[in-house]
Amino acid sequence: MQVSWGPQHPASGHLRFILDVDGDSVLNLEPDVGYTHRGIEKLTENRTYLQNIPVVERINSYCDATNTVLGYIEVVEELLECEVPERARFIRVIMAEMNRIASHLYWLCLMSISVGFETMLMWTMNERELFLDLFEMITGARITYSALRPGGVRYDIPHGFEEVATKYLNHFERRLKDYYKMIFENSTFRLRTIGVGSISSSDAIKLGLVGPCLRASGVATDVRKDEPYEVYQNFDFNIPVEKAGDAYARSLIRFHEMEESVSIIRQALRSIPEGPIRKRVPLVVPKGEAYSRVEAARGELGYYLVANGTDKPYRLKVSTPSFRNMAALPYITRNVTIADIPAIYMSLDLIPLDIDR
Amino acid sequence: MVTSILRPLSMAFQHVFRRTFTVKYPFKVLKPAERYRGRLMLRSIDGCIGCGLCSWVCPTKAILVVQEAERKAPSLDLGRCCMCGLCVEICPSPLALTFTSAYELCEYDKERLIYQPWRLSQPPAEPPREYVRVKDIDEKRLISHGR
Amino acid sequence: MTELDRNIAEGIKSHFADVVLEARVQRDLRIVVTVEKEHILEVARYISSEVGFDHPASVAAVDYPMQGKIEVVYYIWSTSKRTFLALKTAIPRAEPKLNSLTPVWSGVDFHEREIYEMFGVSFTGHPNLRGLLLQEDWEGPPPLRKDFKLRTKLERG
Repeated sequence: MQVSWGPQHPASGHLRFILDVDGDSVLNLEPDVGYTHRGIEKLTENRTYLQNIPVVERINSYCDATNTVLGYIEVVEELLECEVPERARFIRVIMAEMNRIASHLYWLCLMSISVGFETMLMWTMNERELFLDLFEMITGARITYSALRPGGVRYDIPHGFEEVATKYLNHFERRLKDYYKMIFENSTFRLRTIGVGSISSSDAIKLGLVGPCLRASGVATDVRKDEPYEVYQNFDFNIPVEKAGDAYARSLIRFHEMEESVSIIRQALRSIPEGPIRKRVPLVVPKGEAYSRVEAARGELGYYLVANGTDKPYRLKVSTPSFRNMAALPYITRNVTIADIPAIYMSLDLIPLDIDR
Repeated sequence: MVTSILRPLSMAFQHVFRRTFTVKYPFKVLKPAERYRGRLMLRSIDGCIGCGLCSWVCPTKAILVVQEAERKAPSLDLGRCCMCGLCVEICPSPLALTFTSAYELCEYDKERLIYQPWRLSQPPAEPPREYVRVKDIDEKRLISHGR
Repeated sequence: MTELDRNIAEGIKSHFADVVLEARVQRDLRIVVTVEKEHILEVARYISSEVGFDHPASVAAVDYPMQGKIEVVYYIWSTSKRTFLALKTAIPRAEPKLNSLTPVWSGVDFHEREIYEMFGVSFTGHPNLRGLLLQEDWEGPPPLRKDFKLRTKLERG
């Protein structure tokens, strides 16, 4: 029998799974996506490079705006071959890591409601609010910042930011310990996630999984280490790796990534140099093509830009992490029960906006 | 098994007696940060030099430069504005476009969302009510959740 | 790192002397290999099994109506060699057909479906070549080709 799971299901988001079921077990799952397709790749061909910043930000606006724009800025700067002031690079890293934490907190909220644990929804949303407050201090916006520019950043860190950020980070680290006790040691959560939706490392590589989903299967790949962009080579941080490859391992990876991000923000705040934050760059990008990779919260995000020497891109291809992680769904949902689908789906951290673009 | 169920319960139970840190919204209002990007405002119509750069750079074409009493000035369609701030950044005149901290921008009529230059130059109306600073909330939040 | 990239590029070039049109190193960690479209499957097999590029990252297509071609680019990361390769080929715009690389890298399944939908490139040998993102009753030219013009008004009226 065929069952539609979503787009009206409370845990699904704006996508649909077509399930072939036999009783309660799933024989085959086929993702039906495209409910939030906005044609961003086409829109960018009709706007200038500066106007495209708010546009590409909407690819994944409500979770991970900074990292999404950072990839675009990287690829434009590669073709412009422009110098970026050191202070701007540090501000970018601080914002990117803050956004990673905010995104993982948002994921933890969704993950915990998908296993029926609504206390964590309130807790994580509260701590996410702290980071949104910090973003409001820097950029004046809470979700869509439009703060990065080719050649630097638009907003400098305001006076007194460091004290507030240190206070928040201290508090957040204390809370992370509470989170661990509350959810990762919770037997209900462990029963719902351990051994559910596991994928081997060879399958994960073959299917092209990225980010926490790949690292949960035992493959230590992180763009921040493999191909350091911005100033990530200056910082000392670990890549959490798990072996099991199930939903619990993926959750644990994201939890440990939040701890690493806190450490990166602390190091960046300690060592941020003084100086200018922005250099003037031309509006016209010279002819050429480039591919940039950044590690967004959900994994590797790639931008492929073909420029033809005008002020508009000829073609901008976005390879989003959720789109790549979606490839795992049909494989890891064979012979699970329907009740496990929300936990598996949320553990991959798929965002329909990110898939559809 | 039993302790792992009881411990989260006890942790959650501690929060019952803590103070709330939400704001009773329509009666009390959070004061946004200094750099908050709310509704656009023209500092004065005379300060605008009518260059049209804001209209050129706007990614959603929310800004249109119109004729206003022998000079050109921007009009804003709030229904299209995405608050990205490119126009404020590019504006060459220090007396023209700026952000206010107004974020209650609903209107009953779609036509009212289009701000003609004169209305755009008026500061947003602030109804008399109590303002709560973000800082107060933060301190409450950190205390009430700390151990 | 660049040394390794150059060795890989030269190795591929010497193994497929008459099929690979170009193999160069664009910059650190960016190898670009251009092949003829008839031989993309065998080059991909060699690259994945012998050279060790196993982690498909992206498939992009670019439409060039003036030259009458569509360029398809496969981006592959190598988890063992830790470098990044672009496998390029050009197909005629009038008859857009290409061998599917799903037998080599099963991760390119959804990417190829997206290219099929957005550019009208049909991949022979793809197990499930259907639309992905657009609505089911979509009619009209493939939307990411250059001759598809946006119907939305960019001006405020």
